[in-house]
Amino acid sequence: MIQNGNINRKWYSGMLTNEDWWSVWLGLAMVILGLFSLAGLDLVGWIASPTTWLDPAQGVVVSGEAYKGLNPVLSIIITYAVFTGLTTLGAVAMKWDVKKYFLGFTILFVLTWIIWYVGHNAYLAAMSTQHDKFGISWSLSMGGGASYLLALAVGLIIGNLFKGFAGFLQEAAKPEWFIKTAIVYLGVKLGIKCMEASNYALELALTGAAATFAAYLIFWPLCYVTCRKLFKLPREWSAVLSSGVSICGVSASVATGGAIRAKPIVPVVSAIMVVVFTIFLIVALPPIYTATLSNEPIVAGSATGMTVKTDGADAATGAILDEMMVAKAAEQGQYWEKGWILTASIMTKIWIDMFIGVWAFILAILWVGKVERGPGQSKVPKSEIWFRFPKFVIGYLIAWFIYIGIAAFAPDLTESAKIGAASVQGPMRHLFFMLTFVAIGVITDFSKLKGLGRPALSYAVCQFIIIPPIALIIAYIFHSGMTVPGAN
Amino acid sequence: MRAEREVVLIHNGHHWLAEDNDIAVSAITLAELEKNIKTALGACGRYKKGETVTILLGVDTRIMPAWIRPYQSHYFNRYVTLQL
Repeated sequence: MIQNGNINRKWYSGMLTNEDWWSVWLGLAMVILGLFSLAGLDLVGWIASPTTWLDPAQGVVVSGEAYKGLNPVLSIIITYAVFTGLTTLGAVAMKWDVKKYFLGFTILFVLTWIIWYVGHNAYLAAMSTQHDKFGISWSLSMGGGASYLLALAVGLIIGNLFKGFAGFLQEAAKPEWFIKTAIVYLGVKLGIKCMEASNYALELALTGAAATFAAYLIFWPLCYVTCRKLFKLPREWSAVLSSGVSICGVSASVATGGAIRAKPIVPVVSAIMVVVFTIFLIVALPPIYTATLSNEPIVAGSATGMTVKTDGADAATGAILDEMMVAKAAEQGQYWEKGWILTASIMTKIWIDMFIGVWAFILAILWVGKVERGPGQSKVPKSEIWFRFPKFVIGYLIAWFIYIGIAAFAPDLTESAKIGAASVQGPMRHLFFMLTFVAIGVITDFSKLKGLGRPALSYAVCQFIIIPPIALIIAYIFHSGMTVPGAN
Repeated sequence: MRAEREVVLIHNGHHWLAEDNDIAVSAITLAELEKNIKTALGACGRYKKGETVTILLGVDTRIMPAWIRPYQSHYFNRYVTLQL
């Protein structure tokens, strides 16, 4: 039955009922708790995270100095209770199946923590410079990247070999929600980094914006022409696939589908292709860029942001790339600060995300006025731009600017601000990254590509042949010569 | 922009369906659907011939699968002005 209660018409629609807004609330809740360190209270230091280990008993550390006496197992239980409570609250507000969500999230959390911990085994994670420390003669030197790849592998095994179990977990496997929350936490990291290297962060932001703009102007028309001329796809398919492959994946597919009023099946098929094809990039790009661009880390990060679709997959690829490039630099005696390469990939993606609304609005006007004229006079409400705006960016910017503000207006408080920030932008962000990796794997079912024919082929040609080299060239033009600041 | 009427849209896999308290129409394309809405509104007895009506065509968000809805908060809404 048709119900008009499901139309999104107010500017505040969805504030309590969609994941995008809930990533803002979940993100900012922890950012605000972290700020209590300004008053000498560490309210977020209870979180634990794995550290490189050979002795299993030494593999977990509690984040805050104030909580160093806390048993790590108790710390993990508190972490579980806090995030299960908060995300279940979100599930209730979003009217999900709460029981299924609770059980699914519990399984995901336990699975994620086990993988996270195992991935930090010294034989997988330790750098060669740490061999003496652990008394080992070899290691894969993967840093935190081992956990990420393991998480993805386990998720993919579940998603493709245990489909019943994957179906059960899907109520809780929400990679977009997890990664958007993690990106709000990343805003804290960027704020802290700005305290130390404000000009560098500004340059990264501005060049990222310019690169994104250039990419839009090249990617979309090229992909559209490829779909229309080479694969003879109809206009609506070509437009939606072009947005999916050249802008930002699922969001752009849906936004464009809506803008041109395509049948719902079009963006849905495009979204399936985005999700499935992206996995190949998560696995392939980091080793390729690490092998070939070790002197241009920011170029690699930015190119990743322009190439990999969906925020979750981009952050996942950027995180692996960051770990691999930092590890490789360390092997060569250069100690880069972790997080900047990831920041480059996410910053590029955020600019892209913010532009989706404007692009969808332009397409909507073009379609209504030029391509498909109906018997009535159609108007596209400007509110469409706001509805398409990714709300988690608001959380990211608030978190970022809070810390910039502290540095600018209360520099004496910088050190105490860093205490709370350390737990939010460190272990909490990593936990949500890990949840994202497992969740991406769980929701990716390669068999969905069967029977998609020409649309799948055209998407693959655009994604693997057209986009990567152009993204790399644009990233090189705007970011070449930018190195990563050294670790303290 | 204000609309005198609000019509809810869904797609059943083959047809677009539009419905409010007075009308329920369907068509394969949206252009056809707008024609059918115009005819149905003309026949519903609430408007005079030649009167102009602005309607909000609002898509029921549930036409997208649940897993895809978090990526965009809605599909589309359009204002259409029809002369009956």
